[in-house]
Amino acid sequence: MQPKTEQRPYNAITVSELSKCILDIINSNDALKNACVIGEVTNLMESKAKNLYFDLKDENAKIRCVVYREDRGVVDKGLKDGVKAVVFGKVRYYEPLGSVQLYAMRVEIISEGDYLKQIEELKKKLKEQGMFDEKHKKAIPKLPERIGIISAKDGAGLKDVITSIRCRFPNVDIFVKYATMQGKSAVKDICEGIEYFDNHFKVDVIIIARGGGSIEDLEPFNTEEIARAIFNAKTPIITGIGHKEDVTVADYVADCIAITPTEAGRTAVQDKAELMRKIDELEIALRKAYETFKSTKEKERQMKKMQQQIKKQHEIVRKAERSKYVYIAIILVLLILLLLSVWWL
Amino acid sequence: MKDNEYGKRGEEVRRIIMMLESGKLSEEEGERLMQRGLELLNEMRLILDNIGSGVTYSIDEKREIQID
Repeated sequence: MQPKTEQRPYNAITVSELSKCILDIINSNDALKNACVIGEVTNLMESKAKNLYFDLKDENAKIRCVVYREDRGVVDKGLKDGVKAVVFGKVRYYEPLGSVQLYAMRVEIISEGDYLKQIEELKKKLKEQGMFDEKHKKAIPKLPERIGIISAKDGAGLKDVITSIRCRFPNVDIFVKYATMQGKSAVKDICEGIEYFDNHFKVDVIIIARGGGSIEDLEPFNTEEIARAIFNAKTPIITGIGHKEDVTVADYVADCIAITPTEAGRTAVQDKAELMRKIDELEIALRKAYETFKSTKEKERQMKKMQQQIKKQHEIVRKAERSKYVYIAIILVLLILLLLSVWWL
Repeated sequence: MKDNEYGKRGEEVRRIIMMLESGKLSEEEGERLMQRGLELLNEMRLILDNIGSGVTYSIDEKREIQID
């Protein structure tokens, strides 16, 4: 039996047919088989299978690059987000995702990359101005009552930091000011958040929290505006931005740097259960000291009593001795009287 | 902030413990200091319990929010 032919409106082709078409075009182009592309590396990540993935970009475009585990030996060691690199490889069309990817056979790092250079220059400038100096760091309160959090409304960072605070100190008050944490409006939003908690709605400590992201996602935290807003704030600020390997300019200026939002929550508050346990330990020590004190006093009392008894016995002995001399004296007198009476007679 | 209130009480309790351990007090003074120490410890517990009310408030939404 013949399969029923599907009726297609407008003689439309299927997605698979279109993919095949794209694939044919790419495969027939020799230049794409031996491509050599220069750009800045971003969104570098390693998959569970140890393949490397990253984007290669310039000011107008970017392309996803893949380095398979077995080809990783041909990648320069210092490959990281922000570096400028030349990628040699084949351009392929990955049909399941409908994406064009550059399968790298070799990756050569050319220079640090413009963006990384800019960050380094900013760091140098702010450091020279003393903005990273320890002497400017404000102390984080040990028992804050009000914590202000600046974070994205639906971001994982916000959830992480609140959960972390609540686990350690359930009754502390938390106030959240939403801010865009990446993109053009992020700098303004975050600066406004700092200004709000610092001057209009006083809190004891401010946390700026954001989950991990690419170097571009973290761009606002590498700007002078945010660095200065943090530096000028009177309220202590903790940054919990990205993952542990992400250190931004904002982190250098902040009063305390936490490696993740969860860590920022842990840094902001102490563990209440632990504090309660310490108070209990102090009570045990106090009671023990009092028991020792009481037993010392009891011993002193007994000692005093014994001393008094000894003193009393001494008195009796002394009295007895005194009496002995009196008796001897009486006997002597009587003896003398006896002798005198004998002599007289 | 409660840092000072809490910290000062903790210090005073430690001082009381040292004074009791030294034994250079009259029995009445010792008894009085012991009571004072217990009072301070209870005050420390109260300070921890009275920090905030456990609210999570969104400034922008002007309402309490729940984080699951």
